[in-house]
Amino acid sequence: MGTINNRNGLQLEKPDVTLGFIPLTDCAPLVIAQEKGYFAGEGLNVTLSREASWAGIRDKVGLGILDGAQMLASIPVASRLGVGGPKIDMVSAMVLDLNGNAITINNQLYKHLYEIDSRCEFSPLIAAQALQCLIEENKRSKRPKLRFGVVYPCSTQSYELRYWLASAGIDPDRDIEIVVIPPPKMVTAMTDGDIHGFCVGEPWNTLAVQQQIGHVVATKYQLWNNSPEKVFAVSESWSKENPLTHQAMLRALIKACIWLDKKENRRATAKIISQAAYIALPEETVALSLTGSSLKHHGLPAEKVEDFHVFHRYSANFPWLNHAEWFISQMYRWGQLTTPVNIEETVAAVYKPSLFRIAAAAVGIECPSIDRKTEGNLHEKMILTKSQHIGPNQFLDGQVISVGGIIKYLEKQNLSKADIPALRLINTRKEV
Amino acid sequence: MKVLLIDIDEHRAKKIDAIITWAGIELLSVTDSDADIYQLVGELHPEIILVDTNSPNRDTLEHLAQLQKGAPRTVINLGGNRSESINRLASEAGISLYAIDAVPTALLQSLIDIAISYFHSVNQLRAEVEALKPTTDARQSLNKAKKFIMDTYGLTEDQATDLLNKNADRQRKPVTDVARQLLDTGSFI
Repeated sequence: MGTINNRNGLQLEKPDVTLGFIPLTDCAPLVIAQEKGYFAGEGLNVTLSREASWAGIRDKVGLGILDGAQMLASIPVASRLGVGGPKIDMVSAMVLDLNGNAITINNQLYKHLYEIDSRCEFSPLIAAQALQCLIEENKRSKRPKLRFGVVYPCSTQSYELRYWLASAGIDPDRDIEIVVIPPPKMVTAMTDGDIHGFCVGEPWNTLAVQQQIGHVVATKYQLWNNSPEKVFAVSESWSKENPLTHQAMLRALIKACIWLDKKENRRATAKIISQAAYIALPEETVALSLTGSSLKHHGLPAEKVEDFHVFHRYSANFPWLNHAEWFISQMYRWGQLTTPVNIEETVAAVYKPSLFRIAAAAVGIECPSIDRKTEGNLHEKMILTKSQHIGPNQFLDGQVISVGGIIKYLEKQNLSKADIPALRLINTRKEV
Repeated sequence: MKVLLIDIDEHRAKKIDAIITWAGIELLSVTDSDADIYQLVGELHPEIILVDTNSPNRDTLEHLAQLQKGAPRTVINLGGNRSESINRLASEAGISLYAIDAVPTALLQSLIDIAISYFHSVNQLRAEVEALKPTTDARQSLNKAKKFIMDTYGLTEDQATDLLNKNADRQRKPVTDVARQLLDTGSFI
C-alpha cells in the first residue's frame, strides 16, 4: 500500500482503484490507459470492471463500490438533479469522447422511408420528414405505434433520437413508443422484431448493418457536430477525499486519449478493445467506425467520416459547462425535469473544468481558459484543416446557442414541455 | 405486499424465498434476462423489486420508474440517509432494491437487514467449511489408509497407526502424504 506518485513525490490517497465501463467502442480511453500502462505510470493499480447497465454504474459509483466510471455525459447531470433515478452527487472533470452514436432503423421501415423520399439515404432531416409522413399514415390506418430503443432514459442517445424526431415535428412521447434496452441486446431486439429502430453507440450500429438487418439514417455527428458522449465521473465525496488520485486518473486518461486520437493507433485499438474481456465482438466490426468509416447501408461502401470518434482533438476532453446546460435544456424540453433550477449553479457543481485544467497543465497540453462556448456557429467548411483546438459544432436544425442563452434556445424548441417563465424567474442572469 | 425477482439465480432466489415467506410477503416470479420487463411489471404491479446488481435489465426498470409515477424506483438511501446496508446488499448479496414510495422505510430496512444477515451467515458458514476442508480431507485419507492396512495385513488399528507413523518417519514425509500414497499405489514406497 501507499505507492509513491512519481511525478511530484506526493502519496496517492488510494492507489488501488476499480473503474467501471460498458462494452462499447468508447470504453477505449479506460482500456487503453490500462493496457498501455498510463494508469500504472501514474502509480495507479486499476481494476477494470465490465458493467451491464448504466443504472448499475451510476449506483455503484454512488455507493462507493466503484471508484469511478465511464458514463454517458448526461448521467452526472441527471443524477445531481435526481432525474430518472436517485439523487447522487457526482462530478466529472473530463470528457472521454465526442460523437460515436447513430440512429439505425430496420430494413422494412427503411424501405418505406426510401419509397417516400429516396434522399433518406444520405439526409437525416429528410429521413425524419419521411418518417413523419409514415407515422401520419399509420395513425390514419390505426396501425400500432413504431417502437424505438434507447439505452437509458436520460441518455445522450435518448436526447439525440428525440432531437431527430422533433426536427420533423414527431412527438417522441406521443407519436412513437420509446423503450429502454441495454446496448448489447439492441441488435437482437431489432432482429426479433421487438423494435423498429434504435439510437445506440458503436459498434452496435455497424453490427446491425453488417448483419443486414438495418440502415443507419443519422449519426450523432450529423445531429450535433462534435457533441460530448462519454465522461469520466466520480462521486463528489470521493473526489474530495482523493484529490491526488483523481488527478492521477485524469492525467492517465488524457494521455490515453492523446494516443487514441492518432490515426495510426486506431487499428491497434480495435484489436485490443474487441477482445473478450472488453467488447467481445469481431475486430472488423469494431475497427470500421474507429478508423473513420461510417457504414450506413449494406450493399453500399462505408462513408469516410474522420471525426466519427473523437478522443482528444477539438479540445474534446474539456468539460464544457454549456454542454451540461444543453442536457438540462433537453430534460426540460421532454418533461423529465419540471422543477425550475438554477442552471448555471447546477452545471458548475457537476462539470469541473478547473480540475481538468490542473491535469492538462501537468500533462503539458493547452486547454481553454473559458468555461462556456457558443454552439452551432461553426460549419465544417469554416474550420481550418490543421486546426486541432476547435472543431465544427453545427446542429441538424441549424440553431445557434450563444453563451448564457440556453433558455432563449429552449424557448425556440418545438414540442417543448418547459415552463419558460418559471425558468426565467429562477435564472436571473442577464440573457445574451 | 408483492415482491418481484429479476435475474436472481435459483440459488439466491431460494434463500430470498425463505426470507420473504417468513415475513409474510408474496413472492411473485423469478425471471431471466430475456423476459419483457415492461409487460411483467405492468401486469404484476409489484411493490418491491429485487434485481441482480449486474442485470442488464436495470436500465429498463429506470425507464419504467420514469414513465409511471406508481412504479417501483431505485432505493439508494433510506429515509434520506445514505445507507450502509444498501451498499452491503449490493456488494455482498449482489442485489439491488426497487420499491414504490408507499413502502415504509422501516419495512425496507428490516427486509435488507434480514437478507444481509442471511447471506452473510450462509456465506460465512461456507467459508468456514471451505477453510476446514484440507483438515477433513487429511483425516479421511488417514482413516482410509488405516482401514486398508487392517484389512490387507490383518492388523489392529493401533498397529496400523504405528506402521503409518514409522513409514512417515523413515520417508521424512507428513503422515497424511504417506497415507495418500498408500491409497493411490497400494504400497508404502
